[in-house]
Amino acid sequence: MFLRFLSKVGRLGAFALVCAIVTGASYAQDSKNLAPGFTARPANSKLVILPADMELFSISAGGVQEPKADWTQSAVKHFKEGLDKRKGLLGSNVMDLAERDLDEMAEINALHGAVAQSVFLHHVLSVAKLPTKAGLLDWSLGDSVKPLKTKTGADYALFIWVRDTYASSERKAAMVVMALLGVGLAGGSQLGYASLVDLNDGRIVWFNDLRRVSGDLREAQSAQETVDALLKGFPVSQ
Amino acid sequence: MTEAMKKFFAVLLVFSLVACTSIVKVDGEQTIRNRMSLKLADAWNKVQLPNDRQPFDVWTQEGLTVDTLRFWAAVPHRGELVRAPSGSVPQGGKATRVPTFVTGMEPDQLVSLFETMYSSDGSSVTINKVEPTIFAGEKGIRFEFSVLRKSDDVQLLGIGWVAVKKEELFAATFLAPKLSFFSRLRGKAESVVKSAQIKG
Amino acid sequence: MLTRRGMLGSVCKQCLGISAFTQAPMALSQTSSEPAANSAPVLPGRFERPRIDTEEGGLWGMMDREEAKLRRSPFVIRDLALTKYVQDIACRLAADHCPDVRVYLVRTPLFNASMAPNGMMQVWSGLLLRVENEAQLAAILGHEIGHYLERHTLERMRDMKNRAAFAQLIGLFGLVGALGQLGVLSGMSAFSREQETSADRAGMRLMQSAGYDGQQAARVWDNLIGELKIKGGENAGSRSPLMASHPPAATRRDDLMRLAGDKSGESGATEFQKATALHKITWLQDEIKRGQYEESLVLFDRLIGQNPVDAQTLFARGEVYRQRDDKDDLQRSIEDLSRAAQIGNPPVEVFRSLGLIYKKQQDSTLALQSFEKYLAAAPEAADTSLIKNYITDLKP
Repeated sequence: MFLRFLSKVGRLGAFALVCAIVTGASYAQDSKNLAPGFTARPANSKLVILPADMELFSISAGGVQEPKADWTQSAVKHFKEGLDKRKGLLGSNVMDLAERDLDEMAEINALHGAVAQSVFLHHVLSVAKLPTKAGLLDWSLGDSVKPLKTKTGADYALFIWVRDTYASSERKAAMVVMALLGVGLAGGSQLGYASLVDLNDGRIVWFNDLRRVSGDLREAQSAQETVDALLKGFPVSQ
Repeated sequence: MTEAMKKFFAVLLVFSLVACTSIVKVDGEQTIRNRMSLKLADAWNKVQLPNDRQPFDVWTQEGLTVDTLRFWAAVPHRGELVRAPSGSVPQGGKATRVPTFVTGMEPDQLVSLFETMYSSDGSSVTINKVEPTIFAGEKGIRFEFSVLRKSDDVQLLGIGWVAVKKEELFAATFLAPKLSFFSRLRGKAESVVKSAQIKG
Repeated sequence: MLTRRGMLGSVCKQCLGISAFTQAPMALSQTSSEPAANSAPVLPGRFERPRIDTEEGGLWGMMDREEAKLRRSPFVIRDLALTKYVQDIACRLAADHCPDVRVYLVRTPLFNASMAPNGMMQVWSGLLLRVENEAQLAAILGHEIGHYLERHTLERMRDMKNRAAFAQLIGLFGLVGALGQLGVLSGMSAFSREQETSADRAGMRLMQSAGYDGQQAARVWDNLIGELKIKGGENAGSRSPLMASHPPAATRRDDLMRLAGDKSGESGATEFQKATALHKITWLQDEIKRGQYEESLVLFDRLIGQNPVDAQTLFARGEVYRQRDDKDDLQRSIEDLSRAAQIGNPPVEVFRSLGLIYKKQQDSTLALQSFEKYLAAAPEAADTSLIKNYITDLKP
């Protein structure tokens, strides 16, 4: 059943993404990405990184999005390596939450997903801002994060979500042909966010998004670049 | 459709709507569709969706994917509580039934309307409490419910208020995630609802 | 057919028993010239996990992640006994592939089941409510296993890619292009219909081989036609909308009857009823909550026709009549609810519903009686304070 939607939604997804990218205005990075009053994590604070929710797709010539497990697996691997290379940024007191431990944390993870979507929709994009937030990154999961703190002993949790599409070579060829005929076809794109949650009070203290038509998680070097883009402005511990 | 795909494109669909969505701050005295007045102690965010054909207004504190406060005012006899997406109906076939208010409906039937409305996307809804109340100055019904949201597995808690005056329905529902958000935000929602008054 | 097998074979270099794979599914899904009774289906060997860099590997990988999420979902019915019951049926049908099949029961009030290329199988509670016995359930599971064994998801994805590319090119050329697009895409539907028919054949062989009555597979579709006609109109059973990816229900029913032949088998009605007994009232209530009264009535009429003394289904139908409240509905409701009340162990909501009807009809005595029975049986019900108010109002 799901395949029936792939070709339809591929085009829709591309359009929507273009809209989202086009409407995203430029903004002062730092204040927008940080919760009011937050600048850095305390020295020696512990960080837990949750398994990244990542899917990579290839877009065929006709716009069909095809999941690529090897790419996703590479992406997860390269992303992890990329994170490791940024020890200076992440700090020395870092742990990874195992995939199987997500089973226990399912409710918190689902809740964070819903809140992160609202942050993306209402804070990152400039066209649907919530006036009561006054342009501030002011969201909190409250005491719902307690079980995660209890389990890991961490002070902060990093959530990562990435959906990447890449134009296959046939797609790229089709793009050229269509461009000659005056039809613009969307190529690949990256959509994602990184969210840092304070496990002591549930606040989202830092949030960064990724919306672009470049970036490549499939190779180590270019994946590093994506990691850096996603972690741009990540608060250090000091 | 796989869940990941659904969620991904649900997000993108929301983004594509976003280009034409406007959100305004509402504060102080507000009126729903000229027929129900409210006095706000806190500011809320009122969302105007594109091609807005829905018979309810929707407000939020933390965002559309987190909490929603909906209002219905002066829904007439045979008025729908929610408009279904339009589509053609095959010859001799019936359109999907949509929760519709009919005069003379008993309290339990009114509650069923909302139960059906929140179930329509595949979510699982349970009514936990039903009791008489005064809403918007009229004898009405207050109900508490839970929703297990199909699209992202989030568990939500909700409160609803409904009353009928002169064959017109007035109602409000507040829904927020069970973890942390519902208890944090319900006071604000309840305060707005308590101030409701029917006009005209 | 041969070309497709060849294509799949070439992709699946890492799979075990490649020759068995390319031959066996044909035996599975083609109607044999021998009487079905004499030949057990020859299944392909167990699938090895495809290499991650293949198309198939991509699908598997994504399905694995989907499965991890499904496993955590609160929609999964976590009744071990019921899950084991369905898992065991799937296991028997899948034979050597049993270790690769993982069943998840999902609480959603619609008729659906699916199987992913990585062995993850989903069955929705709406389906469990609608099938009448174990053989009908086996027919559906067998059909899904048929898709799995023949790797249809992968084929479909490939085919769609080709057609989408072609359609896009044609689309450039205006109206002619648009019609061409329609033709190409409805061609894709035909391809899917082929797969569905193939899976039906495969499912039939699997279920008969496991000792089930093959005619029950036809009954599944016959039973659905009534419900389909509500939204789909009179022709719903016999016609497919242009882009339908499944053959029309009536065609499937007829084809399955032919495939079943004369071979006898078990239907397993008692086992099925026992296994699902604890959940039935929940599934009935989920169906009522859909608010699609006409479809629910067709379903409940059928279930009651099968078992006229089932208090739960009688309650469900009575409740739908009460909620719909069209001409004569309240009378029909009272009949169903009263009958349910007389049978042993009716759901306690029977008395609530009766009370509400009598109250509406201003029959205070009967209303009071029913409400009091309800409260006595369900002191913790959600609407006790509302009902208590009614009782106070009704008392002389």
